[in-house]
Amino acid sequence: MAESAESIIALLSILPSFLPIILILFSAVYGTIYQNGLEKKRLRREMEFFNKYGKDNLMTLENHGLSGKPVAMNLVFTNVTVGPSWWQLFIGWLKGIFGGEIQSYSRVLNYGRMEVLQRLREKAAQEGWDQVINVRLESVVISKSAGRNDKTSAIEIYAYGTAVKY
Amino acid sequence: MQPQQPVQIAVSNTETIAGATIVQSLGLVTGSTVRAKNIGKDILAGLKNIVGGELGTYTQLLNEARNQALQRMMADAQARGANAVVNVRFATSAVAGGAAELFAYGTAVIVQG
Repeated sequence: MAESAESIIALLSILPSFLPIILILFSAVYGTIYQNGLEKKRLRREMEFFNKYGKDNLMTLENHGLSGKPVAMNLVFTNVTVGPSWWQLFIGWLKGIFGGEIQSYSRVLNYGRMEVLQRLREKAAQEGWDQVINVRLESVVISKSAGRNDKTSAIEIYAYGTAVKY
Repeated sequence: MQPQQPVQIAVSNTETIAGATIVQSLGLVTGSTVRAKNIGKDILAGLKNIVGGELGTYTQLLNEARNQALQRMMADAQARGANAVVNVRFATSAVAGGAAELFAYGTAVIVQG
C-alpha cells in the first residue's frame, strides 16, 4: 500500500513538468476544432446576409452618387480582437527559423478581417442604413506587456465607415 | 465635475455631410483615451489564447474606449460651436506595456441645409 501511495505522489510530482506539453497538445487539437467552428459560423452568417440583401453593402469608395443622393449619414465602427493559439504560435516560431509564409498566423488574421467586415455589414443593416461608404480597415498589436512574461498575443482589427441612407 | 452628457452631432469619415453644405471650417478636433487592460480580463484572455480565436474581453474593452475617444472629439467640436465633424480618422497605438491609446480626429465644420 505504501508503495502505491508513493508511486502516486511521484506521478503527481512529475505532472507539472508535463503540463506545458499537455496544454500545447490540447491547444493543437481543441484549438483547431474551435477555430474551424468559428470559420464555419462566419461563413454561414455571410451567406445568410447575402441571401437576405442580395448585395454587399460595404464599399471603400467615397463617391456615393452610384445609388442616388443620400439623405442621412453617420459614422459606424466595429472591432474584433483575435489571437493565435499556443499551437499556432509554436508553429509560427518554427516557421520563423526557415522563413516563408506563416500560414497559422495568416489564417487567424484573415478570420479577424472577414469577421470585422461581416460585423460592420450586420451592424449597418440592423440600424437601417443602405450602404457603408469609405470603409477603412486597420489593425494594431495590443499585448506584450513590457517587462512581464506575457503569454497572450492579441491583434485588434477595426473597421469604420460612413453609413448612408438613400 | 459634472457627468458628461453624450454629444450627438453629425459625424462622417467622408468630406461631406448628406443633404447639407459646409459653410465654415473650425479646424481640427481630437479626442483620445489611454486604456489599460485589467488583470481579470488578462487572465480570461490568457486562457482563451490557448485555443486562439476571438478574445472577447479585449474586443469589448477597446470598443468602449474607442466610443469614448469619439465622444471626446464630438464634445471638442461642440465646444467650438460646430454642428458636424467630417473626415474622421481613427488611430490606435500600443503606447506602453498592456496599454493602448485610442485616438480619433477630424475637421469640425458648420453645415447648413
